[in-house]
Amino acid sequence: MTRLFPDAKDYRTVTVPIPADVLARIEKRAGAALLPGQREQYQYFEMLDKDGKVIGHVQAMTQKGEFGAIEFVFGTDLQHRINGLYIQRQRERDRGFREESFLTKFHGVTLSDADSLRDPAGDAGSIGTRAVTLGVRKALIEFDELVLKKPAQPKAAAASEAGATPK
Amino acid sequence: MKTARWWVSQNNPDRNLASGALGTQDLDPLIQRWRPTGLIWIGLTLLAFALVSPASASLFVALEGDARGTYSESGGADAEVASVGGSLRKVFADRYGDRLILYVQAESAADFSEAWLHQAYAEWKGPMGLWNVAAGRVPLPWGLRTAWSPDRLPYSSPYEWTRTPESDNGVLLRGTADMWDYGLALTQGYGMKGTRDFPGPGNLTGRLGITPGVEGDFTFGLSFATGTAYTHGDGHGMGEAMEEERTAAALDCTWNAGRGTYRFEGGARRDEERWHGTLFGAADYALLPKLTLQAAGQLYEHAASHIFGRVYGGVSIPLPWFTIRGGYEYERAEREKEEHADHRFVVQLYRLLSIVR
Repeated sequence: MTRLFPDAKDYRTVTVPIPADVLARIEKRAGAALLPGQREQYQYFEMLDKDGKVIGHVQAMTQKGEFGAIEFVFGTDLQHRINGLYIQRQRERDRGFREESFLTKFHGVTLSDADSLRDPAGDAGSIGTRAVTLGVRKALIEFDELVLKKPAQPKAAAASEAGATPK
Repeated sequence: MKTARWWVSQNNPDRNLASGALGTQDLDPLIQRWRPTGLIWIGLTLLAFALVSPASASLFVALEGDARGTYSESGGADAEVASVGGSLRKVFADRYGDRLILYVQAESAADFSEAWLHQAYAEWKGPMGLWNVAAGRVPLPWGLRTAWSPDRLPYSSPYEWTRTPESDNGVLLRGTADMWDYGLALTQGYGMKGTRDFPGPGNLTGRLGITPGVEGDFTFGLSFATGTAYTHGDGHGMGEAMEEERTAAALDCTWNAGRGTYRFEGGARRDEERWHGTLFGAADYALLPKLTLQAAGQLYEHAASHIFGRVYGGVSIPLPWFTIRGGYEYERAEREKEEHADHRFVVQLYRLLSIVR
């Protein structure tokens, strides 16, 4: 958290219930079901300055890898743009998704990219790179649906069909 | 980042609930004896409640079950519900961030014949987890136990022979600063049961740890403890009552290397004017996506001519509704040149549920 927001003085844990209809919408937009244990509640962290003002958000995600859970965290600024992503725990054989060159591909991705987010590793991707990509996509869509309460845009669906890759 | 790692370690669903002590048969006298410490703890909790807004709160619930079948040369065949337990963690926030954490962890063990209260504390969280102060029945910052527990694993705990208390009534200061983490507990020294007088004989336990790198692949820690420890029933199979004045130190490290996780703890404790050495190591290796190999070994010196050792090898297989673990453990004891050996086979069904509310 300190690495993602060096100016933060503290953080606040926020838990949001996921209504059934919103869950269905999230899973449709993400193109995948949320994992057991992630379907009832959505949790994120508000990063705060010395006056208690929110300066960004951090999300901690868990996705299934080949050999167990892959845990990672990423931060978004107030424009909901990813400012950093770090792998925290994994036990995968593949190491590609842990490399800086892969993780930095997510920097600058915004909420509006969520529906069309594709594995930056492309055809060379692995279970790990696909898991991280899916986790980021789910988290951004959850934040959108549950925090910003922004309905899914037809434009986003169209972009999803076309496919888009982070820089 | 380290703060995030601290948070994950506190909420880690894989972090097994520990075993501890508070026998059902001892509840009444304990309640009588508990009062002085209990009043202080309740007072601190109420004060903390008064200072934070309950409007913003998150609840973390963990429930787990552990059923085992064993066969040993010395004890024959046995099957039991080894443990049904759980923990509750409530986090309250004020306008400047998360501020107060209430935590309770308890279990019913040995076919529901025992009840154990492991932890029950209120923790005041400092900015970014740099410092946190907990009061009540707090975990003792010691060795591998800081972020791991062997108690729900099928092999014998290294803390059984060394009679290292898991938690105690008192105050705990802990936190993280960049790659460093620390913990310092000043407690009564009674362990998890038998609170007799206030403040008690006293026990000081501390650990300084370092986790270089973002992913936390390697952690290293130095622990120390000094004072009196009542090891009576402090954990499953801890044996008879024993008040022990001791000084102890340990070095621990955990290495996450791809599909493998390797743990080591080595130390020494001094009681009755003599130092005793202890060694423990454990390895998990994911051979296949649904097959993890597990191995563990420990060596404990009780006196010059009393040496005990155990070696375990087995597998862990995650299934949709539970994890099945099984293996073989060999135990050898050498007492004044007389040798004893035992062979034990174990099969375990384990289930953990984590819920956020």
